[in-house]
Amino acid sequence: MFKILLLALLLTTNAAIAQDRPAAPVSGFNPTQSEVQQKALLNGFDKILGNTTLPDSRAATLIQPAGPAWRDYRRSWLPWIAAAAVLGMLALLLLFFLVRGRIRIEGGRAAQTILRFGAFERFMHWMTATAWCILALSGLNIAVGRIVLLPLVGSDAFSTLSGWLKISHNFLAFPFTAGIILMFLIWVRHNIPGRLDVEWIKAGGGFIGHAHPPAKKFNAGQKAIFWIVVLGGGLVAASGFTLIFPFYFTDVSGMQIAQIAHGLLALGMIAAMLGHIYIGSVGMEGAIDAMASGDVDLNWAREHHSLWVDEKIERTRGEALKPAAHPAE
Amino acid sequence: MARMKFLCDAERCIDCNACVTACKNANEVPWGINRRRVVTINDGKPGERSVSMACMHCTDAPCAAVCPVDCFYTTADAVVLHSKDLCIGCGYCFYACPFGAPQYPKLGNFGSRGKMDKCTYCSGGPEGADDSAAEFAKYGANRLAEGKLPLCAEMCSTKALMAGDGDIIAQIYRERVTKRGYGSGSWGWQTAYKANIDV
Amino acid sequence: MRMFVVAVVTMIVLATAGSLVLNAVQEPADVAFTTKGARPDLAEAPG
Ligand code: HEM
Ligand code: SF4
Ligand code: SF4
Repeated sequence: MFKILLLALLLTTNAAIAQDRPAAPVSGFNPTQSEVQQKALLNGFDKILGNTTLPDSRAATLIQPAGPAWRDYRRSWLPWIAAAAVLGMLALLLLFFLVRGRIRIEGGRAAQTILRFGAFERFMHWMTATAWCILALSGLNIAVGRIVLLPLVGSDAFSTLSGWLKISHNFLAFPFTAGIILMFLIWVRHNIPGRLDVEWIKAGGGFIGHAHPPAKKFNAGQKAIFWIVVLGGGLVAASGFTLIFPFYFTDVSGMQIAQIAHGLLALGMIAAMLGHIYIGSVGMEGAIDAMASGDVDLNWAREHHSLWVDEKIERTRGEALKPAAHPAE
Repeated sequence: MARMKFLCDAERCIDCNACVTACKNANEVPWGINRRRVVTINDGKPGERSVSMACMHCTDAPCAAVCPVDCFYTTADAVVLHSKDLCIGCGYCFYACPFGAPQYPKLGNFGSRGKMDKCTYCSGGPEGADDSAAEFAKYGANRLAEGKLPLCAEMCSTKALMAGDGDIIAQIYRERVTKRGYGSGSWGWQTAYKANIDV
Repeated sequence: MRMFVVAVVTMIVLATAGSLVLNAVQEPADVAFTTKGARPDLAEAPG
């Protein structure tokens, strides 16, 4: 569409050039008439288009000056944005850990656990998470591996590694996308924002201060993560598939935009997920159980998901409860 | 050492595509890949011009700057070459190249597009010995090592397409422009070398 | 842990399936960018 518009523009200006050409003698060749000016074309359009006899439509683009601009973005901006997303986030998390420390189960471990995530939910989570980790590492390698890793391992090893990482990046896109869709279908009904979330945020969510505002299956923080994963991951997947199918949906300008969008969205998602990984592991006592065995400590559940615990016990008539494997000392 | 450049005098190019054919033959370029092509602007209208275009061997080459595996290098003659052993076929050089020079043996990015191929200024690749069979199979001819210029420009019937040291071909172009009284735009020079030829 | 292993196996299966499907639709440049008349069809060559 964009291409057609450009072509139309090009044609109209040609007509304009043709109109104000000086009256040339009917016979005799006046080569200066309506000369095509490269400068005018370069200033007026995002690229200079013509015709070729080649069956490859991309060959008809004579000059696309946006290429060097895209180079400048990748060379001058991308490494800093990547550093901010990864190193900046790690620094923030370290700072948070030093200030707040590990968030403990304030009531200590209970004698009972409660089933939080069933087998299918854990399966779905780990499939998406594993694919995501490899996608993130291989993506970072494409973006900044040349600066970070290449000097350490040398050209040959780096090229072989990057080749494999690239293949894994391209094909792990499928389980990742499948996981995002499953997560959306299974968890969306628990993630509609509500009034409880406002109060949860006002109370600092238990991160800032030590309040434990009531929450259902997912509190406002977890809902935010859910929407970052579903919407952010969805957009990352959409832009990623545009890159895997080069020139199927768009031209070279579109590919540049898709590539920038994919990189920036992915880096944003990496920053958010680092936070998620932190709070799910070292950041909070008892949180990892939810995705490891699926059974979480009852006191942990009461502190973070009070309304969900009551409802779950009632609905399963207590069958979700189990004696803890390692009872409280 | 010379600073090799291409210059297409669009006033002289007659869209005969002989440069394209010469390139394909000299380098045994694979089917479906064209290292050089002729683009016609305003086809069939007043002011029609044809420009023969290939890799321009840019100053501060965009392709080299974006390559994730850093497989490009610039020779002493300022020719931009790459290593097909290191290339992973990601396609980034095509997005960065202002002239659409890099091309790939496969169209989808599924696994790989294959090793990128582009104009080598008829000077082969990084393969050990110049003019070796291994070099020819991967990159094509190494005419520069034999003291010859790229075949496309050498056989251009109207001498529209010129190859050689930038200063010398710019001087030839300048003389033409003074003689005939008008220029034809040194197509691509502003973008590739950040300098037009002023007459 | 068991679910983690199942997840990784499924992930590999889906990725492999994806690669097989996509490689089947991969179009080489010598087919895409040449006309049929220009393509030497070795199967039809005489002798
Ligand atoms: C879900 C489907 C996804 C698809 C189809 C996809 C596809 C791609 C493709 C085709 C590229 C171009 C380089 C190459 O060919 O390897 C790329 C680059 C990249 N991807 Fe993905 N990707 C996906 C998900 C992700 C995820 C989840 C992340 C990060 C968490 C990510 C991070 C990146 C990064 C950082 C780059 C490099 C960007 C740059 O160089 O500026 N991708 N992706
Ligand atoms: S014309 Fe394209 S391929 Fe050639 S040096 Fe410039 S950016 Fe690289
Ligand atoms: S396709 Fe090859 S040469 Fe081009 S940027 Fe990618 S790895 Fe480098």
